[in-house]
Amino acid sequence: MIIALACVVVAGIGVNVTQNISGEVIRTGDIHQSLRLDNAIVRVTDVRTGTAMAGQTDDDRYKTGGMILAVTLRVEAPGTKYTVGGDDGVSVQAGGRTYAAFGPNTSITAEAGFASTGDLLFEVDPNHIAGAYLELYRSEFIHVTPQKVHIRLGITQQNAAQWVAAAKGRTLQVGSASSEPLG
Amino acid sequence: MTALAMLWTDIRILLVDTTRIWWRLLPKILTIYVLGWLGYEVCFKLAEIAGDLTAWLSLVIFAIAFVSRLAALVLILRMVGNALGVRHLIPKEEQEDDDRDAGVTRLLALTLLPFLGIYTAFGLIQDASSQLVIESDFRSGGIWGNQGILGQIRLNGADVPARRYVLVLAIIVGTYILRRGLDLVHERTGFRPLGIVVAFIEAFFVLVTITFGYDLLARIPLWLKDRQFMVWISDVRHAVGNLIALTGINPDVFFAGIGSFISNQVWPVITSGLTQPIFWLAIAALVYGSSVISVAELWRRGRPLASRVRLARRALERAARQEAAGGQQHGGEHHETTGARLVAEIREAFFGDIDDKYLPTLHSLRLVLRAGFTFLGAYVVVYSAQAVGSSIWSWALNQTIGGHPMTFWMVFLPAQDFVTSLPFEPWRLCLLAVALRRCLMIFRLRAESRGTANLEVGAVEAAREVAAADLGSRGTPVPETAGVR
Repeated sequence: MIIALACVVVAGIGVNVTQNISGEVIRTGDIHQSLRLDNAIVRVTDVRTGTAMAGQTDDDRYKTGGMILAVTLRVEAPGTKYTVGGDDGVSVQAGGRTYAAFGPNTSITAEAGFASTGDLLFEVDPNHIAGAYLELYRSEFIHVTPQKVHIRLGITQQNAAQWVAAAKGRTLQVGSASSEPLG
Repeated sequence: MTALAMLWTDIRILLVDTTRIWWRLLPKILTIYVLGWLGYEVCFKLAEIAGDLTAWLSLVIFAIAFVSRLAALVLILRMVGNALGVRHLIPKEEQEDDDRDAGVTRLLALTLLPFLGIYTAFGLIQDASSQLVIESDFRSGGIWGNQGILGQIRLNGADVPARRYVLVLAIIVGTYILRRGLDLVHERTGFRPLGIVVAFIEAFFVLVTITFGYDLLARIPLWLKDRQFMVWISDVRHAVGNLIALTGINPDVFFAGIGSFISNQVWPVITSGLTQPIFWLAIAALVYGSSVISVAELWRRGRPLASRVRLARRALERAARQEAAGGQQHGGEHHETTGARLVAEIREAFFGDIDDKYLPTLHSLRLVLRAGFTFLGAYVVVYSAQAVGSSIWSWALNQTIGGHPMTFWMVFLPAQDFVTSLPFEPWRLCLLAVALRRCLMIFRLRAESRGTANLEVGAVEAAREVAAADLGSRGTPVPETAGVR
């Protein structure tokens, strides 16, 4: 009976664990690396940190007690129009936490045949930014296995303190997204 | 032989025999499987399209889709069981004629009802119904577009009109009455295609009841929350919590921890590791007839079941009615009263499902559980190994195909489901047949070692007495030459 019980426990754990294997398909890349996301191509061109932001209007001014991460993202739409961001499609993952975009650009839209570049802002905890990566996917109400892209932002355990130090007292200038036709 | 050695022996037998029979019958198994899958997918797509006309037509077609899938499953099990010689394990004197070998339609008519019951219990029909809603919503442009298949007849949400409740209940009751009526006609006439129609209607009935029953059941907790006795239960829980707090333990953390451990750790292990394999083995036994279950019980206990499963008795009753009708035509005596017959028919109408669906399943479940811990442990390990393999295969396939938006999956999801299930589902069905055969062999070997294997005469007498008593209670005598041979 003990052997049978052990068999049941082992079998149950095995089935339970494998059934919970994530069905997500994730492509991982680094800064300046072009990655395909559905029918678009995305690339992080710059990462900046600061403790305040300033935009085109006074409403866009904001100061934080933590840290603001500004990720410059370029989205190319060679075929059809593509939008990155919105409610769920863009976030920064760091230290087990998920940070949503805020500010003037929470999404970047590239029209068909165009490339759009814009700054995505994230308010993060400076004590937990090592290993931070940008997560992008098309957020659909009904989905099966969406394509996700993870872009490492170059913030590691070794240089996290330098990123935090560089952010102190710095105001990030943020504008709206710009577009240019693809060649 | 040590327990571990016995366990390994059973595991080896299950693995080797299953793979052998799977390989030997692979072309036939794949043909039936593909046809069943094709029937299911075609009906699924037709159900989506029909949803634009009326939700009820959509559900009827979807019921047919499920019958297609289950028919393939039943046929594969029968074919593998015949190749393994499962029914030949039973002495000829014990074999009962419930027409399982008389034709495919009769086999389907006899076995589809229990399978649908188990599919419902495992939530597979609910999952498929949800998938139908999702794909229908996608076709209609999302939930903000036109109403999907079930949108006009769901009972959840605010401001559900009272007439919709009446409509749903009327459909459920009407479908049940229709099915029982057709079942009665099928039993009286033996017209086989009616068995398939009954299965279609049963599948529709189950779909409707599950889909709308959930909406009604969802309202019960809300209603219960406002009852006085819930306040009493909460007070008791609070008192227990205070007692626990006296020991220095945070009661909320304590209760949450217990609940989390049971729901997240223990329950998934039990359902994944034990209940699914056991239930599937139990219902696979139904494909091979009630005599398989009864004789296995005979070998196990040295005496037959106290009450034979109804599926076998029906053959006796049908023959008895025909004999009685023939006797009346030739001026024979008629002992049956109208009132007794009416009571019998009403009992059959309302409780016949218990005999048809749940009693055989319970008997076979009980039988399987008494096959011995070693066999059960080996079977659970092998079954779970194929489930793990299937999950890993599915993951690998996902990684190969990659992520795509919903527009892609709407087209390729059926193909992906097919390729995902193709390597493992036929092998799983072969495992069920092999495991059942091993189960019967274990009972037989034990009976032979105890000297109780050859009780055919006693078993036959007991079966006739049981059937005679049942028919006698309805005022119809058992003819001497009907039924058990």
